[in-house]
Amino acid sequence: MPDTTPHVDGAALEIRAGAELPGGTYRLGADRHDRLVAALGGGAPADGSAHPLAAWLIAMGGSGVSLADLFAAAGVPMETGPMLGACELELARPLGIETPYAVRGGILDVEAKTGRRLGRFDVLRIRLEVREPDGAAAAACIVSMILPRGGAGT
Amino acid sequence: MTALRVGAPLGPRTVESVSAGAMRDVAALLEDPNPIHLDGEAARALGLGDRPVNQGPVNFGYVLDLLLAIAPGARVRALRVRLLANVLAGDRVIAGGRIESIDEEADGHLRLGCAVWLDVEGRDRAVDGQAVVAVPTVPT
Repeated sequence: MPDTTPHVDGAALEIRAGAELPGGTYRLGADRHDRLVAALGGGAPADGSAHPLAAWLIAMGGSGVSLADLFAAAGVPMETGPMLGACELELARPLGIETPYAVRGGILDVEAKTGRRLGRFDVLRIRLEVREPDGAAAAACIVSMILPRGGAGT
Repeated sequence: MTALRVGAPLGPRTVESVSAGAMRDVAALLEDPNPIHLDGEAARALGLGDRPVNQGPVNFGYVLDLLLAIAPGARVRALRVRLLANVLAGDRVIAGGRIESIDEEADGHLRLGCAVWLDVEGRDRAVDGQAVVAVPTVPT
């Protein structure tokens, strides 16, 4: 089994509360970790564990679906500007750079909203769990995505 | 190293100029082809500004860096953030925070509850939220 599962075609993905994402396995690796730390311009934890932002990378990378496919399944082309609205990270333990983590999760809810600046939009909330190879909880991530739906704002 | 008392400020941690090159690298890392991170014209077409837009996770990544610098051995246990405004290539951003609570834990750590934020100089607050950080009572 590969230590990083390729993303599946998101065409069959259902965007509704309770729908599961394909999930998979994700190993960060030293190269990706170094690039992540370099992009932030800071430093890595001194104990050799991964930067805590790796929880995001591992969760999304192991979700089994790319952002582009997720947005496409929701009927929102990239060109319309879907964006991250909020994020909750929980880290139960330091993350390993070379650990092949299991990721699973799904859609918590989809809420239609209207705002002055964006007009009509949906808030898509996804929860992803990151587990050690032995099944122990390592991290969890709740992501709120803003999906523009067009139309006038309030 | 931050003074560990309620009300103590965190940081600041400043990024002098957010890098468009770093955005391209992070787009590849995140497998995020959203053109607003790669092309100022795409950002302009959506009314987001005239420069590439930084990835939201990188914006709160600056805050995570701030938290790691609280003390040697500091570990981020939780972060909850709202992304309020965009950060553009070339922006000067300042991550800051404040210790709001300190509790002793049985495992020899202090549990710090913190308010955190990221401001774009001369413009908006881009990130606002709370964090929980564990700090060893005996420095590592």
